[in-house]
Amino acid sequence: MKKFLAMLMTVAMLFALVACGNNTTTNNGTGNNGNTGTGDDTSTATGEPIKVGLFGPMSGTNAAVGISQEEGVMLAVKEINAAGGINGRPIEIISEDDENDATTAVSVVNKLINSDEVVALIGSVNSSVTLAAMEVTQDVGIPHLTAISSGASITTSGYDYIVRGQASDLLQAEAVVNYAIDAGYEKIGLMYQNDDYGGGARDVILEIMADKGLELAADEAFEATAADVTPQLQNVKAAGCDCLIMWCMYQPGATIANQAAQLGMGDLQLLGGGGLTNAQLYELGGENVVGVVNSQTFLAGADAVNDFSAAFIENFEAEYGDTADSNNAMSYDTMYILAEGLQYCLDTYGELTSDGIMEGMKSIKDMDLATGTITVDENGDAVRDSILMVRLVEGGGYELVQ
Amino acid sequence: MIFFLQQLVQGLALGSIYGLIAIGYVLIYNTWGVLNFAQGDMVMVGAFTVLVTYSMWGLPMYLAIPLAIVLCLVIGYIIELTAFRPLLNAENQRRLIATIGVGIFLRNLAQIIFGADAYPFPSIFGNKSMNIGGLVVVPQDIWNTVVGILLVVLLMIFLKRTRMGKAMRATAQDREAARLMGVNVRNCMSLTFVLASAIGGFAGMLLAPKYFVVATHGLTFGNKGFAAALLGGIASNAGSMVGGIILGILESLAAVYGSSLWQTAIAFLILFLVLVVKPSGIMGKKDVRKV
Repeated sequence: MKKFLAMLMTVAMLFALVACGNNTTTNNGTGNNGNTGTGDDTSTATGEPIKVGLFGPMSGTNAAVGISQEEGVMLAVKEINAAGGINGRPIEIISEDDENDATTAVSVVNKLINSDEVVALIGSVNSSVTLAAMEVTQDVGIPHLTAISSGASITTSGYDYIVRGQASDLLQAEAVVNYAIDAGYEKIGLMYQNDDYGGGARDVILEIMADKGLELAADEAFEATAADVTPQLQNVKAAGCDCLIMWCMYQPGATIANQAAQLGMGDLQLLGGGGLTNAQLYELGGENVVGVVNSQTFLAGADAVNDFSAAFIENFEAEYGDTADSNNAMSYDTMYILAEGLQYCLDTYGELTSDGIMEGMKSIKDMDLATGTITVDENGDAVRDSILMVRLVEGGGYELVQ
Repeated sequence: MIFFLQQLVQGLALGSIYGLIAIGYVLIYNTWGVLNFAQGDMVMVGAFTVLVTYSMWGLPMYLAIPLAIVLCLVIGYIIELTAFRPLLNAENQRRLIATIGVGIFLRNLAQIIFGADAYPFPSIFGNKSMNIGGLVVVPQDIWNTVVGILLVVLLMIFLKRTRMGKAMRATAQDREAARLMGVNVRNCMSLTFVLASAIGGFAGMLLAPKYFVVATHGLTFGNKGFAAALLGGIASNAGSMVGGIILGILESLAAVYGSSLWQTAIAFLILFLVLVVKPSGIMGKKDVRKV
């Protein structure tokens, strides 16, 4: 009887699992509509498809940003294919989940290169994950674009096959520090997540501060997965900081804001980088994150910087029924940067080669994109005229500060 | 001084939760003779059950928490029935690996059902901080400490004073002898497991308002609980609470007086030191059983 019961329970659990599995498939299906529609029905491009690999966290930490990345890229691909693709050849995206994990990223990148035979790759979100993947793309010699990773070392370490759509932390951290100084804050504290993203920005911030003859009042690290950051906040409080730069993703950002509020540090001005950009920040932090100021490359609510950007905002709304965030916009732009490289390579060499695509992307000058007018420099960084500073307002929206 | 006291308060609040997680390891280790590495994931399950009953079903808190505990009991029973009981007489290694498997299963199941992102959870006891003589205290923290310690005391009274508790302790001491004395060993083992699961789940419910509800939290907090259990003595119920509180306070102090880079490392450093210096833990007796 007991055995029978045990079996019954097992079957029930398995059934529950299968049922859930089904759910996610349908969810993914709807989420990826733009994706599945790209190749065939809407496209006018009919030639041999150009395969491009896309990887990012679709599960695990930062999944929300991985999904934003896919939305942006898929919208761009849909438009490019509808307009005839690259010389009549449609772009086909093969998407993989790297679970926000460096080891997994390396294996999915190898899979995309060796088994899917993609001509270029786009990914990932966390800088440590992107850097791990770059070891592979550098060895193989295949164009690799990252739309979202901002870690400074990505483009300053001499990798030849990387192009970045995001603004480097060299620019973002500078913008944030300058904002803090201009706003008159005197004791600036820093809390950074202890990886390539946070640690990289810390180096940049320390350098900029030193150049100005300033010092950080508090300098605290925490693990990206840490649940409790009160000891670090105690140090920030004891140092008498009037503003705190938190260089981390949205979830730890919300944790810091909530725990600071609990410690009665409500007056502390919170600042940060692009990693804070996600609707989840407000969902988790609520009132406590209202007033947070962070650097960004794009804001849908602001006046569109150019016609291309205005069209993007409109098309995104029509496709997904939602307002585009900066991660959507940068992913969209990154796909267009790649398309430019592909076009150049086919026009110049008549076939697709890694070096030809890279040459094409690095020759981009003053290209109007959704996040502004960009020029790709020799390191692969998309250089742009300005970094936006935005403030989170009541209700979860953003307003432009400068 | 106030600054130091503040660290103690913070460490105590976190440490009493570590203690609650640790006691789950201890209960199961004593009765089943195996370290249950899925214990941390039961913490996560507890946080999600209360998320479902409170945030999703919209039940009032006084109904949501008991119902969530009942759900944890049921899930604990299912785990016991499917992954522990069939392996009762298997080698220790296989049983240990089975518990790791259960942990991975639970973590991924939660990710499939709830996704990978964090969920906010409202505070049960209030999240507005109070200032008591310069000390900043959050009601949630005080209650976490009080409820955590109270639960461990109640558990110990239950084990010492009640018939059922005595039977459970007898089973833990010597399964065969207890069976010969007329104790229903199988029921006792089930009950211990289910109880440990529910305590783990309850710890998760206390954590939820402060640290969000995330599928991967089981791993983070499970490791802390395990370190606390070893520190206190893996065979000692009271020791687990002591170990938890010491760990919580040390984490707080290490981050403030040392470097914040040490905050996460300290638990593993302690684990290492205990294993080298005093494997039986602070309150444990010499034990010859093998993991």
